[in-house]
Parts: sequence; C-alpha cells; structure tokens
Amino acid sequence: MNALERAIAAISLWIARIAIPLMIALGAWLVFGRHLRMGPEADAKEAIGLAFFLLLMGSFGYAYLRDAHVRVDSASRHFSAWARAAIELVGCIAVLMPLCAMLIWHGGDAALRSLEQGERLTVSDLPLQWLVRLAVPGGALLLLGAAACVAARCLRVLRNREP
Amino acid sequence: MQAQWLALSMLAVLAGALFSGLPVAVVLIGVGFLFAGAGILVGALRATDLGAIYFRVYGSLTDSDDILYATVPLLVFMGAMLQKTGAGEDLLLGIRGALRRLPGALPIAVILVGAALAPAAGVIAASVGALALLAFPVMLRQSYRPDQAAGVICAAGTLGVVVPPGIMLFFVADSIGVQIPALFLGMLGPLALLLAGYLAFAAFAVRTAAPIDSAPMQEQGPPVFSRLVLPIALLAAMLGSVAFGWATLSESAALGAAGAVAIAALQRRLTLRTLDEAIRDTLLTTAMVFFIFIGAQVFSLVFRLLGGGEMIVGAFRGLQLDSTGVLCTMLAVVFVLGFFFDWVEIVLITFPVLRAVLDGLDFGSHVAVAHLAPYWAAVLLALNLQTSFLTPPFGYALLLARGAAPPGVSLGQIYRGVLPYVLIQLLVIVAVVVFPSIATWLPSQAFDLAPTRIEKFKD
Repeated sequence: MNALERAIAAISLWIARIAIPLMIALGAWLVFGRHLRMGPEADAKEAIGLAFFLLLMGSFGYAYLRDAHVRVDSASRHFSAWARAAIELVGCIAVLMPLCAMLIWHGGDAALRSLEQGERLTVSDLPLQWLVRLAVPGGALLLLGAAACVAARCLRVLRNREP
Repeated sequence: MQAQWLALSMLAVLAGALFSGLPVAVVLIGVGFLFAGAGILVGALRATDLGAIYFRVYGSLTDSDDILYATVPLLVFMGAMLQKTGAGEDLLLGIRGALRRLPGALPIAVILVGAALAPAAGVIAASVGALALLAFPVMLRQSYRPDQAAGVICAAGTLGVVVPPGIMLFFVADSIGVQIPALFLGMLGPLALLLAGYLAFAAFAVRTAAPIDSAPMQEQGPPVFSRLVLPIALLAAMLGSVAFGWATLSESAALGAAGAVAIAALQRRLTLRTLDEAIRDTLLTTAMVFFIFIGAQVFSLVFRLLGGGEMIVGAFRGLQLDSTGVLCTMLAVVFVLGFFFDWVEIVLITFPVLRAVLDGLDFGSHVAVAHLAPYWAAVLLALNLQTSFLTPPFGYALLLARGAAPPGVSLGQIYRGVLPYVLIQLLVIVAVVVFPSIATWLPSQAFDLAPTRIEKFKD
C-alpha cells in the first residue's frame, strides 16, 4: 500500500507542478497579450480551463491520503480510535468506492465515445476532447486507490484494537 | 408527497451524519446515494437518474466559456506564497512600525493584516489560526490584556473572508448567481464602515496595561517599501484590474499569483522549496473546496429530484412573511449554521437551496433597482456569516482562536474581548439593511448589472 500511496502522491504533485505555473503564466500573458495583440486569446483561456480541470481531478485522492478534506470533528474527536476507523471504513466502502466506480464507468464510456467520434476541443479544434474526458475516470482511479489505502489503514486499526 | 418527506429526511440525516467525523464531501455524497436508493425504492426516482451525477460534475467544472473556477487555485497559491515567504509577518511588523506613534498601533496593524491577507483566508480555520499564532505572542508581550488581544485577532481573522478578493465571496456570488467582480465592489462600502469601526475601537479603546513601547519591534528582514508597499500594491492592482475592466477575475488572480512570486524573488526569499510547498498547499486547499463542491452537487441533485427545492420554497411561503421577513429568517438560519460550520459547507450546501427562495422575493420598494437586490442580499449573507463566526458562545472563530492561543488565555476572555466587535458588525449589518445603497451604489456605477444572473450550472 505504501507504494500505491507514493504513486498517487507523485502523480498528483507532478500534475500540480505543471498545471499551476502554466495557469499563472497563461493568465498573466492573457492580460498583457490582449493589450499588445499578441495572439489567440481563446486558446490560452481553453488551456487554463483544461489545466485547472486536470489539477482538480488529480487532487482528490492525494488530499484524501493527506487527510486534507474538511471534517466536522467536534463530536467524533471524542470517539475511540476503533470507532473512528470503523466509520472511516464505512465511508470508504459504502460511499467513495461506489462513487469512483460510477465516475470510472460513465467517464470511461464518455472518453471512449469521444475518441471514436474524434470529438474536438471547443476553441482550438484539436481532436483531443477525449483526453479531457479521460481526466474524470483517471481522477476517480486515483481516489479509488486512496480509498483502498485508507481502508487498509482502518482495517489495521480494527484488527489491532478492541472497541 | 412521499418524495418530499424523503427530501426533508435528507436534511435531518445530513445534519446528524456531518458529526460522524467523515469528510463533509463523503457525508454529502453518502446521504445523496442513500436517499437516491430510497427514492428508487418508493418509485420517486429512476436508477438512470443517477447517471446525471457524472454529467453534472463534468459539465459544471469544464464550462469552456467560463474559467471562473480556475481563479480559486490561483488565489490560494498567491495567499500561500505570501504566507510561506513571511510577507504576512512582515506586514504586521511593518505597519506597526509605521504607526508606532499612534494609539493602538499594534491592534490596528493586526486588523490591517487580517484585511490585507484576504486572499490567503481560504478558510476561517486557516486565517484565524494563522493570525492567532502570529499576533497573540506579540500582543501579550506588549502588555495588551488577553481579552483585548483575542478580540482584535478574532475580528481581524474573520475580516479576511469578506475582503475582496476573498475566496468565500467568490463562492457566495456563484451560489447566489450574481456577478463576482460586482459583488467584490459591493463589499467595499460595508467594509469601509466595518474597518472604520474596528480601527476606531482599536485606536481608542484597546490599551496596553504598561506604557507603549514605541521602539520598532524588528528591524531585520526586507526594507519597509518591500515589506509594506509591495504586498498592498499587489492586492490593489488585482482589485483595480478587475474594477477597471483590464482583466477578468481569473486573469487578475493569475497576475496576483505571478506578483507574489515576483515579490518573493525581490525579497530574495524565493526558493524551489517554498514554491513547492505553496503548490502543495494550493493542491490540498483546492481539492478540499472542490470535493465539497462535488459532494454538494450530488446531494443537491438528489434533493431537487425528490422535490426538496419546492418544499423549501413552500416552507418559507408558509411563514406568510413579507420579503424582508423572509430575508431576515434566511439570515437567522445562516447565522446559526455559522456557529458550527466553516463557510465552505454553508455556502456550497445551503446557499444554492436558499437561492430558490431568494429568486422569489421582491424588494422593489426598498432597493432602488430590482436587479440590485440579489447583490444586496449576497452582501448581507456574507456579512452575516462573518458575524456568526465571531459571536459567542459557539462562534467558530472563537473556538479556533482558543485552540491557537498561548496557555492561560481562557474562552471567557476571548468572549469578552470579541463582544465590541460583534456590536460593530451588527451595527454595520443594520446600516446595510436600512440603506441598501451602501452595498449597491458602487457596483451599479461600475458595471452594467441588468443581466444579473450567471447561468453557470449545466445539467
């Protein structure tokens, strides 16, 4: 599981290391480029939107592994470690895994149909819309991996401690 | 009718399940799934309706005509860079140094830093926590009473969420369906009143127990120009570029992010490690906000399919109040929610539900122009939420400040310290209720707001 955690973290962080500077550079360039009439504005806007979407889809699994998602823990912090692990395990198995399965199923189907039909990007007209659609099942796969890692951690707690 | 009972039960189950300690987004999705299943069992939903979840998530996040959401990671990155490079602390010490001959120099500095670091105020927990860690030790060392220090810190920490271009305002505008730059401008009038009240109180009522130490607290680090002028100029340039139409919101955020990197480079504090830490923080904060957004999409889809939207509107109509009465009831609901939750949960989950009610209200006789009413309501909701975070006994910011305060500072002292600021908040809210033009005049002058609604959500 450690290898899976490292792989998820590496993928998410490298997407962010590329996407965030790209969004900053293109966004700043848009302001000056518009006044200096330097080039196709719409292409840059589309690229920012795509970079953002990739960043987002790549982020959920990593954030779950790092326990960065917001929790209302005013009551649960008084629970035992065993109870917290049991609740987390239910969340992983009953909510996150079905959600990921749904996104992988529908997202994968949409990406496949997009590839077959040669669907084009709205502005730049490149036949690469399937890559954008692929981000949904890709991100869901990372989240599914993260959910599996967290579920394994919870199982270890449940096995080692009495309620 | 059976479906609407299910929708009502959804709200009750959500309220309970949030306290399970699971991530809020997981709770939202889980409750959505549970009641979608129940809806299918009683024949209120079809299994194929659940396929809409994918299209709703994909459609709302990849709107090719509109890259507004890309603004969020850019603003968070800018805030993270300013924080990681020590610009926040510089600003506090720099302002305090510049104002050291004035009464209340340090409390004023804390308030201004809270306001100036608005883009970093991603969540209340971060802004109050960071400010408490930064300012509590300095204020106590300068002989301010713990209650006075706590009051200033809590007020300044929550101020950040309503100062443009704070991320909360971005989502308030999106949820209520008003133009974001116009809401930013709409906040400036009430903010000027709030700041005036805060600063006057800090200058004349917050006193040290010992004589004020007028010597500069720290002379190391970058020069005053670099530590004070550059960050403030950066934030002013961001706001100005949007207000004067030179840049869209996301472009202005990109300029801000690039500016934060440039400031760090000018101050010789830019390292690969700092950059990487800022990127990592940005990734985590963006994921946190948008995972709740996705959870809220799933929850609200099922809620609406079960007829929950009509039920809420019907319930407000059943109260038989006029529009102002309904708005006050909504403000009261949001105020109570603010005791228990951060703005992310409230704005993303509750506001879209309340929007259906807001759309049916008529403030024609009170707000000069009808299409300005949603801006007025959005400003009031934002101010109300901020006040709620500050209000004893449950104010979210107060509990956070207690957690970050040095040992020996009690919750009672924090409650006492914050009361004058709550009073100022309430006075400003009453002023905005009575005189809507405080919130609507500036945006109506700067923008053509006639087409007020941004129809963002694609189903």
